[in-house]
Amino acid sequence: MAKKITNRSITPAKGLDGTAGTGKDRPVKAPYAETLSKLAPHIKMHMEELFSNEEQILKQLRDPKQMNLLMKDPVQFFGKSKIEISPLLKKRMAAFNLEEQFAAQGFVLPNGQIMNPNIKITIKDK
Amino acid sequence: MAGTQTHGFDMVIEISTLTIQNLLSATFDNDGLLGSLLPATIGSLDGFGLSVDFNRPAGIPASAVNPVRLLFNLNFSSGNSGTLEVVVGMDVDRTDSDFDKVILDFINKIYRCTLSVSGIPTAITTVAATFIQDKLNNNNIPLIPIPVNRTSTSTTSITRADVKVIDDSTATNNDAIGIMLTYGGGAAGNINDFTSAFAREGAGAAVAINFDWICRNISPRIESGIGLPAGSFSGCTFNGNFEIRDGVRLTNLSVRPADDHIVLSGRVAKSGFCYEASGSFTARIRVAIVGGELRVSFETDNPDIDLDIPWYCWIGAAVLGALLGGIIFGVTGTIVGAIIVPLLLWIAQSVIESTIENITGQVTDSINGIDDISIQLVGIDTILDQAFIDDLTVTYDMSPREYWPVKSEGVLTIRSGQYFDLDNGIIKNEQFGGADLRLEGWEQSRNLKVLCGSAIATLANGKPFSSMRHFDLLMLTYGITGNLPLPYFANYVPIPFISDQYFETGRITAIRTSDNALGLFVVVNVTRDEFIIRYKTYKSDIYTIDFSGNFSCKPFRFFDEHIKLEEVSYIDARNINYKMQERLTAIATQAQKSVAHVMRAAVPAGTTVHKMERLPVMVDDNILKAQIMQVNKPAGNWIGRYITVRDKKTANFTARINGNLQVTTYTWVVDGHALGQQASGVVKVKNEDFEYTTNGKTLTLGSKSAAELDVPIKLMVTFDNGIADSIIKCIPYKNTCVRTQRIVPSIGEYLAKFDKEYGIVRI
Repeated sequence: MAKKITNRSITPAKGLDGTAGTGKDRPVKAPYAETLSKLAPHIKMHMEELFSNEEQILKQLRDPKQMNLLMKDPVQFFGKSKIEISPLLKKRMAAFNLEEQFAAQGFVLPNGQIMNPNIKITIKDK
Repeated sequence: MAGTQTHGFDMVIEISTLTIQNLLSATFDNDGLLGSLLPATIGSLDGFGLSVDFNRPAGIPASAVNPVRLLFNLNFSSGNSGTLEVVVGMDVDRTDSDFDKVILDFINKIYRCTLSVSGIPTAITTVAATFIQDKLNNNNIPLIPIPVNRTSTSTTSITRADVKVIDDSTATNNDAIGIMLTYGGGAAGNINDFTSAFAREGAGAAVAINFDWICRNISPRIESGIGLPAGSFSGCTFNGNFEIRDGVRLTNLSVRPADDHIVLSGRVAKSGFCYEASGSFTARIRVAIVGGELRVSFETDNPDIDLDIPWYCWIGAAVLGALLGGIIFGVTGTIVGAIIVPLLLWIAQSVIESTIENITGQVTDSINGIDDISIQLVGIDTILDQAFIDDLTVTYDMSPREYWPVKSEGVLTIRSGQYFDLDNGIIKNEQFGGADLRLEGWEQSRNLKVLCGSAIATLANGKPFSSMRHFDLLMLTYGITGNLPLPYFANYVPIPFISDQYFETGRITAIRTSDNALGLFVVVNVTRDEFIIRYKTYKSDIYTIDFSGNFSCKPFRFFDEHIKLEEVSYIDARNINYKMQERLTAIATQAQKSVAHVMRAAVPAGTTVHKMERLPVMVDDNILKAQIMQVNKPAGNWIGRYITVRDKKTANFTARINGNLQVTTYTWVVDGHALGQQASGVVKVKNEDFEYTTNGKTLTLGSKSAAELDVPIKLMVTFDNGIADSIIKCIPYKNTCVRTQRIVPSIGEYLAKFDKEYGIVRI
């Protein structure tokens, strides 16, 4: 049974707060640092390069159309945003399929009823 | 809307006019009560029929509260007939510290008592009516005794019972008695708002439970079960932030009534790497009587999961794919599968179901247990019938217990040509003295011949066989002495390829046997060769001697503040589900035959079709499977065994003498010690002190002894013809009361069993 991802929406980014630091004496760890730490070194390098465009990405994401595009077709999003991405990431993003990511996840209740959660995703700026 | 039907009271018991009429008919028939009220000057009573009317009679004082009109049709041995009309007020007797008794107040509130008998001058019947009224003045008749604890603040102890005769002035004229209960912590509602009875779907009795009171009861159970702070779920609403398990937090929970169901809704939240998630759920809970048990079923909407993901995680997911899928899989599994599903099942099937089951169980215990106290009313059998919500209403089939001694009953298989005697169930191939009926003829030409000395009568009250009582047979015309042809009992329908071609009418027939006993029978099955007959015959001109009473624990005290939980046992879900499946399958199989016969059996015009024993119509395997699934439990029931140590144990014993003889003396003997008449004092029972009081047919016996023993009690009676007889019984005397009832497990205990016995089933 195909799962429906409904009401995808995004909260417009309000500002950039996750850069490497916001002041000389108060270095702040980037919010995506943990995400990056989980990646393989060769992908991490490409992602760091991509995330260096954070300010521009967030600016694009304030446009709901662009936000929706990111959810459905990340390659096109970056192309329209004129943000360059490495061939490796491009290849991987091209393979991204939203529906496939959310394979069917129903739950069978004792009375035989099948419960299919309605999932609403909101992309946050931090 | 909560409180609509109960008008602000915590619980209301309503009993229909017909049910009260049946109970009072049995009461006045039992021990020959009505006959004993009549003076000898008007003759010996042969039989009577009672009509009860809750419409306010004309001509009684405006100040009369709750008047009830009793109209007796009387038949005398002399052949005379007459009517006795009594208008009496219904009230609550609060003189007993432990009971509020709903009574017919014959002592203080007889508004009318008139008698007329054919062939007897008015001057005599007027004097006789005064005689009857004087005798009635000594007998208040309790209808329902309600155990109360007047000062309790417990939400599960009744503090007060009120009564109102609901005289429905609308066209439906749906009259009833309403017994309104107030529990600890509650306040009485508005009794004047009861102007019509609530919907009972034709049931003889119903209990409506105010949802606010259910809420008062389940709130502390949900709080303690989940571990929420005390008082945080008052009003059946929780708003906060409480971790249930695995980092899942409950942020909102509410239980509220809707038109025909209870709505359970809530929200949980969980956060983790790359996500903030919350899930909201809504379920509709319904209560039903399934296979004789109160069961809760539910249906849920698909839960809404809100998932907040930071932008960089989303991009990471787009690159890595599995990252996002893992979040979704994990979040829905943890929130929906591991928390929402078991949480709503726990609330529906453990908290709400067990609470309502315990409440209805107490009501049943209380009503069924009324012969445990010294009152004149015969016992009552109640059977859970159906339940619906708005307020939550549970209906009962209610009928008086068998009170008149039965001399013979059973099922007989009769072949053509055989004679049989319903006084003792004897069947013979040749005629014999005492035989009542004979099956004659062959196949479609068969008939049941009424033999010399016996006579039968048709019954038209529509009751099922199991609810028929002695009083139903009193006012019939036993005039049929000829042959009853096959179509009276069954119709022959020669449908090809069907082996059973006889479709029984189910007509119940009354009989006065050759031994002058009253009885009834029904032909339950006709085959090509046989009649299978169910019958019951009551004793007639001999007496029986018995007494009732015991040291039993009082009902309605399940939640007594002094009761202690001794142990908890667990019945697993597989066991419960298997038994329910067996029961529903058996009912469905029975229903299939019954429904098929009802559809196809032609009943002669003008005859009464007796009410079939209530059976759910389930003739389709898919319907049966659906019903089994609907009450399928993923985790079992927790049963608590409670004990309470009693201080003083008191029993009221009442002599039960049936028959035509008058008793001149009752003598009570306790452990070999004969007690005096109208006496009180102390008697030794196995070296323990027991206080006693005798008053004719009653004995009150009580002790504070902590010993556990059997008390030998003997009743000796002497009749006016000089005959003496006695009966002895050993009555158990126990210091403690043991009760079992369902208890609510904590959500942790429930989850452990849920995970083990059901688990998360994904598709």
